[in-house]
This record gives sequence, C-alpha cells and structure tokens, in this order.
Amino acid sequence: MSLVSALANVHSTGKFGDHEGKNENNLLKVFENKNLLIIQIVQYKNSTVSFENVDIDGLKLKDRPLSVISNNDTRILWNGPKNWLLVSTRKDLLKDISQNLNETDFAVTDLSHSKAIIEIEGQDAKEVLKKGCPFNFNTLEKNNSINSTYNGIAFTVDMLDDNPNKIRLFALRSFGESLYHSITDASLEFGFKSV
Amino acid sequence: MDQSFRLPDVGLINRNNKLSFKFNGKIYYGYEGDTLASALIANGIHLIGRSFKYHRPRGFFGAGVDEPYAIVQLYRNGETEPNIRATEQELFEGLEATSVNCWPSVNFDIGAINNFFKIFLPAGFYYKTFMWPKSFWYKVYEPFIRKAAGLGVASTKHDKERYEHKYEYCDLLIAGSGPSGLASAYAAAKNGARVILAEDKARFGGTLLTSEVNIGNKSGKEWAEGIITELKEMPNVTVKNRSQVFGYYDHNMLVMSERISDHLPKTKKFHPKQRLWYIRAKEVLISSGSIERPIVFGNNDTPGVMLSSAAKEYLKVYGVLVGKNPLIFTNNDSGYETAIEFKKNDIDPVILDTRKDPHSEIVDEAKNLGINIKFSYVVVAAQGYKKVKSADIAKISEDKEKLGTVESIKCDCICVSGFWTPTIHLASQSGNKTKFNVDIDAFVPGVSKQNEKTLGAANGSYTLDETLKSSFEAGHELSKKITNNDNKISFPNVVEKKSTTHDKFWCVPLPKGKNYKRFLDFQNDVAVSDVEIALKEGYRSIEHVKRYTTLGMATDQGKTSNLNGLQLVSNIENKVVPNVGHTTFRPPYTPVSIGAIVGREVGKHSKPTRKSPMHSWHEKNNAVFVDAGVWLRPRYYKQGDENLFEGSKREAKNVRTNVGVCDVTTLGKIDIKGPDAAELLNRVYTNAWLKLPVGKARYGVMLREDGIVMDDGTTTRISENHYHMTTTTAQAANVLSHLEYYLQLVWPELNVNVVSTTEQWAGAAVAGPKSRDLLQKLFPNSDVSNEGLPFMGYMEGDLFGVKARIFRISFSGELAYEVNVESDNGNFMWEKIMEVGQEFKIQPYGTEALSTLRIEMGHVAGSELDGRTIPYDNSLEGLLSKKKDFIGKRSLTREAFIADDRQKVVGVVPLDKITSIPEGSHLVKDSNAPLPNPKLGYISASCWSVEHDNPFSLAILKDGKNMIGEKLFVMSPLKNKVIPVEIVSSHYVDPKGERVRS
Repeated sequence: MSLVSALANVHSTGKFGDHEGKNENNLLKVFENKNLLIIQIVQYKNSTVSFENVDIDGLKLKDRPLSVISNNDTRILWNGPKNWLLVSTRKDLLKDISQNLNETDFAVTDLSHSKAIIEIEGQDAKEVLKKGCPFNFNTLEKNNSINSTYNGIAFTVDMLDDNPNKIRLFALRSFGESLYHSITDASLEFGFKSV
Repeated sequence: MDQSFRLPDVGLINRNNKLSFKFNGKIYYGYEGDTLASALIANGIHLIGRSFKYHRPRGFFGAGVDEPYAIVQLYRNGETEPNIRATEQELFEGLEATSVNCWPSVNFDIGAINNFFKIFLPAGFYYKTFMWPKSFWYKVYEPFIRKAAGLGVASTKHDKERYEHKYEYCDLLIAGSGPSGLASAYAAAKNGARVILAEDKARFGGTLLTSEVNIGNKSGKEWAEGIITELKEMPNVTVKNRSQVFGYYDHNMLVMSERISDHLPKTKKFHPKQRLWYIRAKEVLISSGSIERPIVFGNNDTPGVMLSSAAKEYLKVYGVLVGKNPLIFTNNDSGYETAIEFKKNDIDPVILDTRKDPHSEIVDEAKNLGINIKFSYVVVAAQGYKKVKSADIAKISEDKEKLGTVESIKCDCICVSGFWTPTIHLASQSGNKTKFNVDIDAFVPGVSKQNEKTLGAANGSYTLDETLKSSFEAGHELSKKITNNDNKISFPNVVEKKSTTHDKFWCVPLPKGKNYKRFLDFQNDVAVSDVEIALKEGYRSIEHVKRYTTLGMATDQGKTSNLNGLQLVSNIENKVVPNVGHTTFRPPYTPVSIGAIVGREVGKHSKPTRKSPMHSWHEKNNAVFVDAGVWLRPRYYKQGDENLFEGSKREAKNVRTNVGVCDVTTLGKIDIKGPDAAELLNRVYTNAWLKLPVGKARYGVMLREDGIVMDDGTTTRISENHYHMTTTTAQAANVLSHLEYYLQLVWPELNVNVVSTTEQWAGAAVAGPKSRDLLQKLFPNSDVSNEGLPFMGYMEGDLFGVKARIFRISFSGELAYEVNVESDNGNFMWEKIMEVGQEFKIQPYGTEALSTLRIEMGHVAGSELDGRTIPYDNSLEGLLSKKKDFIGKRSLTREAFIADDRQKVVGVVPLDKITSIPEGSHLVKDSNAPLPNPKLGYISASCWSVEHDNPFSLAILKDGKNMIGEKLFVMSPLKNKVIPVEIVSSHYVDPKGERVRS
C-alpha cells in the first residue's frame, strides 16, 4: 500500500528556468513537504481555561496575530483568535494533544491529509511570492505566518527562516497542482532547483 | 539617404552600435538609443502614415507619449503588434515596421480620396448616414466600415510571450524622473524612506536632458546622472525605467507597466516581456511634467509640423535634425530654446512670435545669435502635401483678430509652441478636484483626495529653482512623516535662464476666402470646424462634444488637443474655460497591452483547478471530465467509440444491475465539534437532531432565512460531540460560511467549531445490488450486513491496513455506501475497490450516470434546489419540524409559500416514450394557446431512465400534487420542440425506497 501525496503527480526533481551559468547554491529551491502532522486547535469561545498553560511539545500557545511558536520538530501557527494550526514532524503528537486538551474546551481536528505543502528557499523566494500574492512581503519576518491568496488560490504562508528566506506554503490539497504550477512558473525567471 | 539628418557628435545615442531596421520594406540604419521615430527622421523620413478619417499624410508631431499619430505595425521575432507609437518604440537590430491605415502604400493611398469628400465627412457624419436603404446595412455598409476602421492589424497567432505581475509596497512612489522626481526621490531616500522611482522613458532626467541649466555646478544632465547613480545604489530605492505609471486607484494603489524586453529583438527565455506592477504606496508624488500645447493653424497636420520641444529633443537627445530650414512658431519663450539649438548646430531658423515685444534672457540670446525673429507674426497655413515645403505667414493685429498681408516663406519644418499643459491625469484619477490656473491657461491639481502631491511642471511650475526647492522639501517632509527621521540634505545652487510671460493665443484665424483645415485632434481628424458643428447642433456639454466629434478619444486621449478644444468651446459658448470643465481622465494614461493585464492566467491555468486524489486514475482510464465549479470531475469513462449518452447509460445500468463506484471526494465535508454541536445542527436544519444516536446519519435540509432551500446533505454523529456534515459540491464553501456567520455573530454562546475536511477525506460511493457483497470483501473483519450496518448507519473499518469510514447512505436510490479514507490513501482505496469489485462486474461511473440515477429516483439536487424553491416544492415538507425553531421557519408561513396550488416536483414522461425532453423547457396546458402562453412549470432535470428505458424528467409544476396523470405539453422555443407529456410521480423508480433499505 503506497501513500500518494498531493503533489506526487507534478513534482519532479531537476533544475528549471534560467539556471544556466548560475551558482547552484544561489538557486531557488522548491520541494514538496509531506508526511507532516497538521492539526487545527481551536479553543471554544466560552471556554475559561487558560490556553497559556497548554504545553504542546514544549511549546506554549500564543494568541498573537502573525505569530509562530516553534522548535525543531513543531511549529504552531496563529490562524485566528484562539485558533492555531500545528504542523509537526512528530506524528505521535496527535495522541498527546488529544489527551492534554479537554474536548469540552478545545476542538482538535486532524487535517494532515488536507493540505498541499510547498517549500521555497532562496534569496528570491519573496520575489516569487510577490508575483501572485497582494500581501506586503517586505514586512514578513521569520516566524510570521499569514493567510492570503496566490493567483486566486487561498494559501497560508509560514516564514521559516530569513537567511536565506525559507518559506512554507500550505494550500488545500485539491488546489495543490495549480499552486505548484503557479509557484514554479513564477520561479522560472530566477532559475530554481526542484529537490 | 543614409542618415543625412543626423548630426555628428551630438546626442546621447551609442554611435558604436549601428543598427539596421526596415520600414515599409526598405532598410535603414540608426543607433542604439534611437527610437524608431528618431531613426526615421535621421534618414529624412517624415511620412509615417495616413490619418484616421481623411487619410491625410501624417508625420511625427511629438517625441514621446505626446505623439498623436505616428502609429505603426511592429514586427518582432515572428510576431506582430499594432498601434505602436514610433516615438516610444526603441530601435533594435532587425526591427520591422509598416505604416497603417493606407493602401497600397503610405506614399500612394487610395483612401486619400476621403480628403476630397471631407465636406461630407464632418464630425458625427455617421449619425446621419448609412441609413438607407435598410438592406445595405448588413451587406454593404457594415462590412465596409469594419474593413476601413481601426489602425493596424491584431495578430491572430497565440502570443507566446510571458507577461507577469508583481505586488509591491513602498513608502513613496514617484512617477517621473524629471527634476522634481529626482529631487524628491533623493531627499526621501536619504531620509530612509522606501522609494520607488518610475520613469516612462529609457533615460532618466526628463527635461534636464535638453535644458541649458546648471545645478550645483553641473549641467542638468550631469546632475541627473549623478543622482540616478546614487539612487540605484541605495538598498531602500527601486529605480525603474521603461516603466509607465498609468493608473491611480483607490487606497493609494497605482498600477505601472514595465516594458522589460520591448526594446530588444527577442525576449530572454523564461523572462517576461512586460510586467504589471500593483504598487500600494503610503505617499505618492506625481512629477509627470507637462506636454507642449500646439497653436492651431491651417494644415497644421502636414508632415514636418511638430512640437517645438520635440524638435529640440530630437536634436539634443538623438542628434537628429527635424529639418534644415526650420520655422519656429511660438507664443512663449520655449520656442526660442529650440531655435537656439538649431543655430548652435549651424542651422538658421526663423522665429515667428505672436507676442509684440517680449523681453527675457532667452529672447535676448536669440537676438544676439542673429536669429531672424518676426514679432506679432503667425503661421496662417502650412503648405506642402507629404511634407512641409513652405508656410503662409502674416502679421497679426494686437487683438489677434485680423491678419495682415499673407506672404510665403520657404521652410521644411514648422516647430510649434503654444505654451504648456500640465499632465494632470494621475492626479485626476486619484480623485483630485482640479482647478483652472489663469496664469497658464490650464488645469492644475487642486485638493487631494488621497495621499498624493503633484510637483514641478505637472503642477504648473515652470522655473527650475522653484521646482527643485519644493521637490526637495516635499521628499523630505513626506519621508519624515513615515520614517520619523530628519536627515535633510542641502539644496544645490541653480542657474537657469529667466523667461517672460506667454501670449494667451492658441488659434490663428482664417484669412478671407480660405477654408484651411485647422486640426485640434490629430489622431481622430477633428478640426475646429467639427467642434463648431457640434456646438451648432446643440451639443453643449464638453462630454457630448467629445463623443460627438471624437475629440480627445482613442489612444491619444487628448494629450495635445484637450485644452485647445476647451478654449474653442469656451470661445463659442462665451464662457470661461473653467466653466466648460474638462472630460474625465480615465486610466490607462497610455495604452497597456492585454497580455500585461492578463499576466500568467492563460491557457490551461487561466483559472485554478481542483482535483481529487484519484484524478490520475481517472485520467488513465479515459475519463471525460466536466467542470464542477473549479473541480474537474469525471463525467463518464469512455469505452471505445461510445458517446456521452451511450457511456452514461451503460454506467447507470451497471449500477442498477451490478455495482458501480463513483468519486464523491468533491462533496463538501464539514467537521463539527463541541458541546453545543447538536444544538447548532438543530437550529440550522429543519428536522430534529438532538437525539441522533452515535453511529447514525440523518438526511437534513438547510434553509435560508427567507425560507428558500439552501442545501441538503447527510450529517453523521461520529461520537458524542463530534459530527461529520456533508454538503453538495457547489455549496460546500457557502454552507461553511453560513455556519461560521451564525456561530460568530448570531449565536456566539454556542461552543462549536466548524472546519472544512473536504480535502482530508477521499470519498468513493459504492452503489448497486452487489455493493454489500463488495463491501464485505473490502472489510472482511467488519459486519456490514443489513443488521450490522443498517440504512443510515456509520462505522469505522480497516481497508487492508488503512483506516476507513463507512457510511451507508445513498444518492442513487440503490443499496449503497460511501467509503472515506484519508486522502493520501485515496488512490489505494480506489484501486482496491476496483480490484476486489471485478468479481461483481464493477464499473466506475461519472456525474452523468450519477445524475441519471438520482433523477429517476426523484432525489432532488441543484437543479431543483435552485434558490427559488422551498421544502414543499421538493416534497421535503415531511422534514419540517413542528416542535422546534430553525433558520427560515418563520418565512415559510408567507402567503405565497402556503398557497394551495403551490408548485411541486413531479415526474414527466413523453407520451411517445422516445423523445428526450430538453431541460429548461416550459410546461403548458395548450400548446396552441395564444402568446403569452401561461406557464405551469418548467423541466428541471432530464435523463434516459435506465430502469424503464425511456426518457424521464423532473419538473417543478404548479399544483403538482394534483396534476399526477394529467396530459400537458412541454415547449422549448430554443430547441423548437413541442412534446406531449404525462405527469407522473417524481419517484419513477422504487417509489417505496425498498432498495436502499434492503
């Protein structure tokens, strides 16, 4: 039995676009991130429990717009008031979360299969995003996350790093191929390496 | 002729790079840095095309965006593009261009016969002609007009170029890199602001490239070059040339078109030809300069008549003489600058100044150089046909009404300067209420509505010292407001020649007995006489005058004609210009290619598509897809040569007899959790939900607040406070929004979370009499018997190691199940179902067969739940709870909704049992009744019933419950059909619903 990821039919490795004569280390890198645990955590409006006491993989929830709390394995993105998107390489976290978060106070929903995830890394990563998203990327910093659209496709942007820029993009799985096409098409001008 | 009008050692072109190009099939030469216009003029070519209406010979009038009629058809890299201004197209090796609006050639044009019939072709002539005989319109007039209309030919080939978009933000956007743009950009950038400086031309500097000024002990050109070099090195500055800011929109959003490769023979692979920038700026500085105004006189459209500033630009920037025997006709000092440049290059110009006795540094300089100047003189008419050969001139009286004796003077070009019109387009587009400045006889920006300011010549300021001072100040103050820094830079010393006032004179009167055409709008062939006719015919508003005469329309948008047109209207109407007003400035300021506007949304990717996890399987198995919104769904799976009807009939039949599998991933799925989840369902659905047991599903109908059915679907109780709601594909997003709306705004007291899980689960509907047998093989460790998994039951199972959800629900009306697995396992699930199902003769089925199955079962769907029907209409009144409230309940008591003869869904069968009934057809009692024939209902959905082997339709019919057995007629005017039919029950198959419960 084999799992087929969202971009399995379109993502292929290689160098594309205007890459000739350029230092490979300076090329944009594009790849599909898969097999991640993705959980929506929402605290009910009338719950009186303090979410700040919640510990998930050593991370504390923060109700601050744009913010991302992270460690090496796990990132928790603020997705709305008392609404977080947890993304982790640790699949075992789901059980911990379900046990630690009382179901009368929190809704925990597994969305691990519902997203297509593209990571883009390089100096021109923001320039690629500027081609299709009206957000002001000049203000996006490391460990910021926003929701916007890219060429009409709703997506979440998670800024993993800024030296060089490393950005993770989430879209609904069914839009994955369209988003992948848009991102890689926009990257052709700079040349990119698909890994 | 090999560049006989090119001056040696003058200009900013690169003489080390000689370029060859073709114009009208002939090869010429120019240099890198030339425009097509400058290169042609250098080669002595002045006849560029023929005018729009009269096919009069036309040459070059301007040197940039001010050019109204030097439009060519361009050929580049195997492609062609119409409507290219020769004055803006940069020369490249191998460029090819041809004249437009002429046949067989620009030199000999049959269309010129129009000029002899010009008295029959004044403005608005088409409103009074082409009316008789009526039959001629389609056969003669329209084809002829279509052939004659337009300038140039649009390519019918696919445009392979890339065009891209970019969204950018900045503190300060500056449109124009003349002195005011450079100064403000420099001051702001030095103070830490994030600046974008946009220049339309290839070269930065604007008028500094052609003016004899001194800034900080440097020439204007040197100063500009130094500033640009510094700006380009600053990390907080983006400097863009070949970039036109063409539109100003709300919330300080401006759009800029960047021409990346238009000046190159070929676009670099993977790179765009043009890029459209959407720029949101905190502040905007408009330094778009001014356009020189012409003075109107007879035959002022003759090739060789051009703006004086253009002649100066051709000389100083391109090293090109527009003539060797120039006549300068001016009402201000600007014309003198041109004359002085000619003189410095050993050409003897003659100046005609409408003023009587002006005194200024520039006038004195011209006198000292020995230039021949005639004061109080005007050009009465240009003479020459394809090129100016001479001019009729005369002295003019002080009141500018009477002409003296007309004399002829030889010349090969007439350089005209009627003072300057500020370019206020962007300011006006931003909502700025312009005001009339009587000193310069022009509109200037008034009160700003958005965060914008206009500087320099665009604001009616024509002294360099004043312009630089105010621009440095503006750049500093605006940046200080944004960055809170206060690094002020010192203002350089400015040396410029002082000028005197201009003459408020714009149109030369006609001498007695002469009827020269005096053109106002060169692009649209609109003359003084045309505007006079419009006003005589009662068109008073300037907007009407514009549309009746076409003054200021098309790609020129009145850049050189608007103000003179306003002057004429105000003179005739005896009003002042501000009371006449001006027409509305609309973007784009200059033409923008459709490609740039579209960007990358082309072809297959012109819109996003959504695909299910099993999409590649469908593709490999000959699925023919249909658009369901942006989803791609299999419509049917083609076998051999079968068509849609044959394929879908085969698939539907197989479901009724064996088992079929359908990809239902696209149906909306909403995960609902929380202590108040049941209460939410109870409020949004019409039926009761509080007591639904865990492990059971229930069908529900949702209404809008006005009582109209919004959506239907099944919701399953997964666990105590956890529900799984399904919706139709089309309404998935709307239903989620609907739930969010109520939870956030109307019932914030409910502790419920709703989130879409449509993508989380891949879904397959397994339907048919053998579906249980198949399911048992797929889930050997689960009890899927009728008792183990009853109708509307739910369980979780193990599909060969993959966690699955199994719902016993049916849309087809057969014994059926929906299997959901997490999406990455979707393909595995599907292949397993197909593999195991072979034993039971499984076939996949698409949306067409799905539709057939539900129609003949009488299950309502989108074509019945079309935003106009209530539960009763769809035979769903049994689901309306009498005990509890729900959204839309109160609205159902409205009079029309409780009428006895209310419409209801019924079945319709053609009497001949053969003729298919078109969807959308009307149901009537008597097909021969006179119009309007009373409509009793309409056909909502049609199919070929595989159960009965005849056509069957569903319809919404007035008093439907009492019409069963009635004979009516279906009428389809679109398909020209009248079909006698019988009304039957909508449940054409298994009316008791025994199969789903078997």
